[in-house]
Amino acid sequence: MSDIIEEIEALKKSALKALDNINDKKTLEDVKVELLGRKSRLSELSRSLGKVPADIRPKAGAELNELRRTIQEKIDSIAKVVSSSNKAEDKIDYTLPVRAAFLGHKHPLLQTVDEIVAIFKGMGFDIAGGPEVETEYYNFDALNTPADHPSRDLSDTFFLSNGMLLRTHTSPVQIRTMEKNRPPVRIIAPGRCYRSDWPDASHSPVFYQCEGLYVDIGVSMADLKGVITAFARALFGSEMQVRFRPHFFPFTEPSVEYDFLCVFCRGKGCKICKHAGWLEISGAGMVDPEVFKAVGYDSEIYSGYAFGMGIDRITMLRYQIDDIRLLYENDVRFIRQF
Amino acid sequence: MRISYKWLQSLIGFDPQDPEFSPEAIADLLTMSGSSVESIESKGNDIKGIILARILDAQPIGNTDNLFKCSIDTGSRRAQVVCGAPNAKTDLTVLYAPAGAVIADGTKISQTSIRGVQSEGMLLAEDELGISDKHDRIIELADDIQPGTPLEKILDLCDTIYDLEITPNRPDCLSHIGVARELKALTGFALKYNPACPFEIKQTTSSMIEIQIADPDGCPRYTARIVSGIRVSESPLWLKLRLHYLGIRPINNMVDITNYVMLETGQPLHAFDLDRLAERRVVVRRAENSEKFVTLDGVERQLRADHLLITDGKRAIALAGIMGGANTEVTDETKTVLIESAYFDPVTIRRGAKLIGLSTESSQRFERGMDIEMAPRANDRAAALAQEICGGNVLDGIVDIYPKRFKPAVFEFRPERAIAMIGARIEVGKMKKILDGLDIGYSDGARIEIRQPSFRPDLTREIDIIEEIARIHGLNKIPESFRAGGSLLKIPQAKRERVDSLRSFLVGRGFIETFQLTLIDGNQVQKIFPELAVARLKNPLSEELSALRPDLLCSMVRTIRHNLNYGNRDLRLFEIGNVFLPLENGEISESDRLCLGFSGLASPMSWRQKSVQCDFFTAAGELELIAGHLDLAKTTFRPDPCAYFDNEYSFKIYYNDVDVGRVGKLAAVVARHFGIKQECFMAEIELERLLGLTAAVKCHKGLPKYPGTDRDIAVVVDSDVRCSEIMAVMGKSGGDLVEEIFPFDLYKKENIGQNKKSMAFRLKFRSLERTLTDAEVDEIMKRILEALRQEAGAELRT
Repeated sequence: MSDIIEEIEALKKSALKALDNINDKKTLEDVKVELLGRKSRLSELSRSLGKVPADIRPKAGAELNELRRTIQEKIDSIAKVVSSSNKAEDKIDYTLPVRAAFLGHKHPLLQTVDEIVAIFKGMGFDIAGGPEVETEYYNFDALNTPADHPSRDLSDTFFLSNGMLLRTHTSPVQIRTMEKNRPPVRIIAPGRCYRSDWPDASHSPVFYQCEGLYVDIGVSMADLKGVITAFARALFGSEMQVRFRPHFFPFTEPSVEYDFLCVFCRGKGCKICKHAGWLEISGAGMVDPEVFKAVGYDSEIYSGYAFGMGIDRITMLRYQIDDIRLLYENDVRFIRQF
Repeated sequence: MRISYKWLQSLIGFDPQDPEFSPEAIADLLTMSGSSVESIESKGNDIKGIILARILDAQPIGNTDNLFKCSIDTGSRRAQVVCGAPNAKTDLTVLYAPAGAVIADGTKISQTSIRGVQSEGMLLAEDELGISDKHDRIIELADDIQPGTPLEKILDLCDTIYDLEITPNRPDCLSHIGVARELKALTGFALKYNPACPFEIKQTTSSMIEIQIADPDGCPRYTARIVSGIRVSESPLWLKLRLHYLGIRPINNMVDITNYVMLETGQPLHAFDLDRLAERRVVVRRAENSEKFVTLDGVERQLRADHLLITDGKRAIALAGIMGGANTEVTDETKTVLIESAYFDPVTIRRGAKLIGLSTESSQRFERGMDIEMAPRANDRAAALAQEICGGNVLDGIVDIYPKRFKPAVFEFRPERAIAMIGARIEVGKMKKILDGLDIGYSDGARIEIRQPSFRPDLTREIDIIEEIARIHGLNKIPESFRAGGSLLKIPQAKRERVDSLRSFLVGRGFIETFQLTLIDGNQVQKIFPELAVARLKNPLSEELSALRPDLLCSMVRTIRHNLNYGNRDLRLFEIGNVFLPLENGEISESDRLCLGFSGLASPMSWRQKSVQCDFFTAAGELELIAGHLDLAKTTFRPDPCAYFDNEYSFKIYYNDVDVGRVGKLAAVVARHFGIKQECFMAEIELERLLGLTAAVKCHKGLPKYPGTDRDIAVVVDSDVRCSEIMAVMGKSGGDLVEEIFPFDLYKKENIGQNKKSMAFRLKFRSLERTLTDAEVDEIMKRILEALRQEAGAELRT
């Protein structure tokens, strides 16, 4: 083999290697001159082709042309992807805001529902639901709320002309679920509720609650305390403390109210907790035997706890929202904050 | 319920200096045992430096008739005070606040000059001591107290007043004795309550009054006592103070005594002026329908047969358990009183009070259930106090008619059951101590049998006793246990999960999730859509919240209006929620829907691309993507008019040829109704139907082995030729090798021709068996063009 053929071969190797690590246009230009310019070895070889023995001249010529084309193609393809030169007018202004599309947001109340659902799902609760238009039986009677109980006053409950009512709590879902399933049952039931309260900063005639229920053999108040505390810590952090106070509800016995350590002052006392250090969250208790009777569960065998919580209130606490009406106004400037 | 710390202390005898029993500690004990302390108010602590003084001389100032220059003896010296009270006169013993003293509202008294007369402090009226709201007269004291005596020597003004939230099951805690009993159980102290019995004269009560109960269900017990020869006047300061602190207005000594005994025992009492009774009889009966009666407050009440009346045989004298009558009320002239202490049926009182919209201290107690055994004891207590304070003679004996005796619930209590239910190892001895502390009687043996106390209507079952054990033991002493597990898989979760995934998808597509009230303005909706059936509330708060929404579009319109009003012009919203449809049979069907709303710019303003306004295709495009997200193959729209939408822009949405909802442009009429001045496009989908559609079965097909070829074609057609028609012709004439057809340009300008449009399409060709040649594809394109000419009147655009 003649020298020139070997040199062309070597030149090709080194040229391709030189092109391998190029990242910007400037270097590319330099390398192009070096490889293909008048003073390049390639050009020199082409010029000296006349001195090459005639028998290999056509082959050498063809190979040189081929190499020139290969290098040119390679340079062209690199030029397409390599960034522009350092010249100011070619540089991008990366500070230009793009706003590719509108950014979507979930409603803060429903974000809270989502989180609560996720926490309880993790603890083995299924999500149950029920109608908002309810009967007196499911909303009151089956929940051991006798006809003369104050919460049955016309002033608290919205009635429809057909004798139905708008559920005042999510507790009817307890009854509906227990009627359809034998124990054990472990559910939460988030949903809208209605009470005839004039709208103001802390009241809304339509509000959002979440109910919890666990019925099994040997369920105790200690279990109730455990689940509420675990929930509180999952939502508000491991430092959260929960306080339980005796209370009264017709459908639980014993009944409790539970408070969270004030999420703002962590118990030191502030305006939001009215200097109590605790925030009243909601009620809970052990399912009353009368409720079990209504759904045909034997209270000598099974016991269970039930709890409620106001999701509007929890949402307001989480995000420091001071007016419940904001949650239902749907101002996009408000929802975009979450 | 307002409760006095001092009063509790006198009943229980704890040491107020002991930090364990400080006002704050007691509040905490009460809150943590179920009587939640809503507020703690410290009373009288600010008052300082007040002493007794005697007026030596009171001279009117100048030509005024309401200002006196008083010269007073302060015990150590003489002072001069200007006083504006009409009762200022010589020899009166009064309360004097010298300069430097502090009165109830925190004012520090200083020397002043009134009408040029020096005044070294002031003489006090009741409001300035915080005893009552009265300001018209200065306080007059008995003459036998030495001037200079500090006020603290004759009256203790300091107290702490709690406001307790008493749950409806605990009527016993609507009294100081009841709350003291709670503390007794919590602390182990004894209850010190042994009021003196009245000293009775020879004349018997039964000789003076006859009691008949015509309705023993409404009135199971009625007791009466008579006190004669009383002098009705103002109550002593200590009594006024106590009532005022506890939120009850002092009236006169006799009425104040009945209120005081109620606050002490819980038992509401009523005093009648016996001489004003028509006959010496009390008859308890039901009211006649429409019977009229004037209550103490001077209001004429129209009664119903549900009301229980106290009558004197001829006419009504009290609305039982609610309020007394004006005709027999105790006045300054009253000499003899009949004190009533009865037990009225809770439901009767509750209904009666509700019917006339009158709720009183008395009715609130009776409707929760009073202690039937307390009735005679409270009466004795009131009579003894009347004797002491009003100077009367108590007649011999109490008339006690008790036709329906209290039958206590008797039931077994199993300590092991309590342990299982509470989840804490509480010793049986500790449980018994709790029962003793709460005065709950039980028989002690192998079996513990509980006997319900008369003051606890809420304790009728074993579980009720378990609650008592738990709350007195202390809920915060119960350990926390954790019983979590996997899903019990009883309730299908798939639908909820798909809805959540759809929500996330839409948020990813740049939608803002809204959440509207389900209550709407029923009249407004029916005015705009007279055809629409709407479920109305029987007792709405207002017209704006009078009906349940029949669709989500009405909610979306409200949301859009609100936002446009506040200058939020570019909207891309969705809501998933329920709607309520009244059915023929009177029932209401509830179902979930998805609603989309668009207005303003379809994408944010940007230097990179021109922003376009939302239009039908903005909505249609998103609807197609939703179908894609749910693996539905086909989305089509068909014109269908509807009241919400503009006729030109009103369509039904079909996914896989199933009607799932509507999309359109908000009709101008509707927009005007809501004051919306910007084009809005909306869509509403029935969620059950959407989620019920069968998604395409996912089955791997293998990727094509041979490359495809793209061809673009632009044709000019009449404006009314639809895209779908052109595409159908291309698909049919192109045959199997056409993989995809998609329009990428639409052009309508005059240079194309009158009523003409140009449409450009990209066609993708592919064979699964070989690489297609240009010649082959050219041939197909020729065929397609020919078919377009023939069937759609299309011309190749040049």
